[in-house]
Amino acid sequence: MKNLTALFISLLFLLSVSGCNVQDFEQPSIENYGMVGVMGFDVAEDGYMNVTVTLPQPEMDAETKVQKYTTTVKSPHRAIMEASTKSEKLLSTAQLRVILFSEEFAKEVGVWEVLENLYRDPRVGTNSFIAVVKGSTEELLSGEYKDKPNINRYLNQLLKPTTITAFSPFTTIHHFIRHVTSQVSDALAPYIEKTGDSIQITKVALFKGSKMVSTIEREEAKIIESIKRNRKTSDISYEIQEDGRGSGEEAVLVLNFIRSKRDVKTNGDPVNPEIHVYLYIAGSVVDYTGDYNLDVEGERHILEDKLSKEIEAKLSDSIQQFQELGIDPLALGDYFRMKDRGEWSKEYWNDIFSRAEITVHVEPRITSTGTIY
Amino acid sequence: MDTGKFKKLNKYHVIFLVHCSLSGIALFSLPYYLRHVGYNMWMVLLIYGVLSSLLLKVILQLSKQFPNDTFYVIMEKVVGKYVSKLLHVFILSYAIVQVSNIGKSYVRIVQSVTLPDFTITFPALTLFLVMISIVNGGIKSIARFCILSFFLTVWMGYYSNWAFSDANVHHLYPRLHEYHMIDWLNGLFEGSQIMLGFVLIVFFYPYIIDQKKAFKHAAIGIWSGIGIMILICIASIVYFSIWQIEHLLYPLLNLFQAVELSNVERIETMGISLYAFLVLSKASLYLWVAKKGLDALFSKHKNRTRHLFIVNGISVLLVLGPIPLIYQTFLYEKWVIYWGYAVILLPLFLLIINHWKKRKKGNDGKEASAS
Repeated sequence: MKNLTALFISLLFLLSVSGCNVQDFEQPSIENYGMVGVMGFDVAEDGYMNVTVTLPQPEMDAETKVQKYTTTVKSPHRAIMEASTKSEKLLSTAQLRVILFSEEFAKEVGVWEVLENLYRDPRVGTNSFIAVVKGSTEELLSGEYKDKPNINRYLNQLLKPTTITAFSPFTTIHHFIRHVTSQVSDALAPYIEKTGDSIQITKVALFKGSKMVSTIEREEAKIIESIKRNRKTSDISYEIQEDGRGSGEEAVLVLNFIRSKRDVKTNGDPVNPEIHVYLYIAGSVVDYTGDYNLDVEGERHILEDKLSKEIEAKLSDSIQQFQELGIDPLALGDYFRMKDRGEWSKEYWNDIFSRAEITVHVEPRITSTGTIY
Repeated sequence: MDTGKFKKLNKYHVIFLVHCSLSGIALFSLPYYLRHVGYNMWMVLLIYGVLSSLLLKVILQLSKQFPNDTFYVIMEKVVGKYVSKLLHVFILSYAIVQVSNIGKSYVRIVQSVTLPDFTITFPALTLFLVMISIVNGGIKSIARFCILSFFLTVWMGYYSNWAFSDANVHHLYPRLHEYHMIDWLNGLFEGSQIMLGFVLIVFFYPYIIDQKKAFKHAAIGIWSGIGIMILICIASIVYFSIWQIEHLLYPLLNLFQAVELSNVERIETMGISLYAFLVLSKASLYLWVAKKGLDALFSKHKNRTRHLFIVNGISVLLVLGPIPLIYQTFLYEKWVIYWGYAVILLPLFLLIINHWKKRKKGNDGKEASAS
């Protein structure tokens, strides 16, 4: 009886409390939501931004594969609110996969404010990819890619790291924010452009703080990724000048990397900083158009030496470019910081990095030539 | 309520009761609480482990002197009827505030991440109703629920694998010189809410079967809890930048967001749902302490189920009631920690008084026999 009384009192309490919850609008069901897959940001006038959002087209008989809305607003979530007023769906960021910035936006406005606000929203997954677009993101998202899936899936798959494109896999919101706010490194992001009926990752954008400052080639970015951590990297292609070949007749060597290992040594002296980078890579030959006989160990070593010099030269050029720009996408500061007891900040490190004497030593090893010599 | 034998807690019950009395919902925000010392946060946890083990050793000295009495009865025996009543109210209020603090923190996370379009009323009521059901079964029921909670949630630690696969291990290198004493004290203070719970052993000590090994079992509970917390902290250290650690309110959710599975998306939603078990086990323990407090105050320690409903009702009101935010902030972020310190120090205080009383009694006895 006592238990029944307690249950009755609990139910009464429950019912009375439910009266506090005012339901003045209908709670939407899952079918009523429009899941935004891609957001693109372009520069507009007077501090505004043009935001283009795309979401899957739920109507089978509609002419386009995706719904697309463009609004001129001051913050990313305002764009969702504004676009919701044009759509029959309630737009949500819960399935946001890709965030695009036009080159102009990334260079002039910077991406921090947008990313910080998206990072704040718990509905936005921190695994959403970001990329910089040549030209306008609205144009890219309006393009027709006839033999491709809808733009949401296409971009998501394109930016997902694979063995071929994994030159800069860490360009999710989380990774970008980690590098931008890191005291020892700077961020990279894929640079994409529309080429005919496709979208192609053509370069890698370099950032100083939250603003894009320059680009590097994909092959350089692959080596940079190898220096950042011991990992399996993607296939890499180099053109090698061989003896007896004229200028412009370089042999092409494509290696499928099995593993890479790096070692960084620093003197920890902020006045006369010295950094020595060692990179050991091992891979198997996939393509080779040169004249060396890979069957012969001696000739294989000659090819390895030439590849080593080629990579070292390109890497040294990249590092020099980074020093001139005052950025460290290689995250070498981690090693220096372990030996330095100064008051550490990003500015402090960038200053040291730009003055540092940096040497590079690359040791490639051809472990296999495939099923033929 | 379990009306079986009075001594009912075996070693596993003790281990998991102490384990679950520690972190609870605070696991979600642990790296944020310890942000003041940056990447050195794992050292703070080691300090907590050592401090709580030492305090536990001393606290159990009091319980050993009163092996069959709950802490409320010990207070009455040591400081007398009237002062003990005041102390009962003090502990009762602390336990109720802790229950609301844990419940409120959890429903806030649920509301902001899982159910952003809903008010917190229904999730809060559901949580507190389940709590009644657990506590109504007595301390053994809570202990069993703690064991269940542990095994239902501990496997989520596997998902830290994703954070480690993208780790920057250089972050683990100690940078002690970058932080001042005040930073360490702030970190120790703010993070201490994750360690205050172990003192609750003084309330369930009389129910322990093997009291001689209570310290050993409780210490296992403490260090297993510390181990899990260190794992979370290390995952956060290697995965986040300092800025992220300083600004992310629920870093554990972001760690879960790193997980990519082919068949499940947004694993953090599942994590939040599963962590309800940890929240319920810790809150139930505090609710049980509060209910025992009311029993001590109004029914001479006799079990009264209505007291459970009363303390639970007050906790619900604290969560759903119209308390201004400024008071809530003070209550849940500052006062409750100072309150917790006082509750931890109380057994030490009672131990000293009891020792002094015994000594006095001994002296009086000697004087009487001499005269």
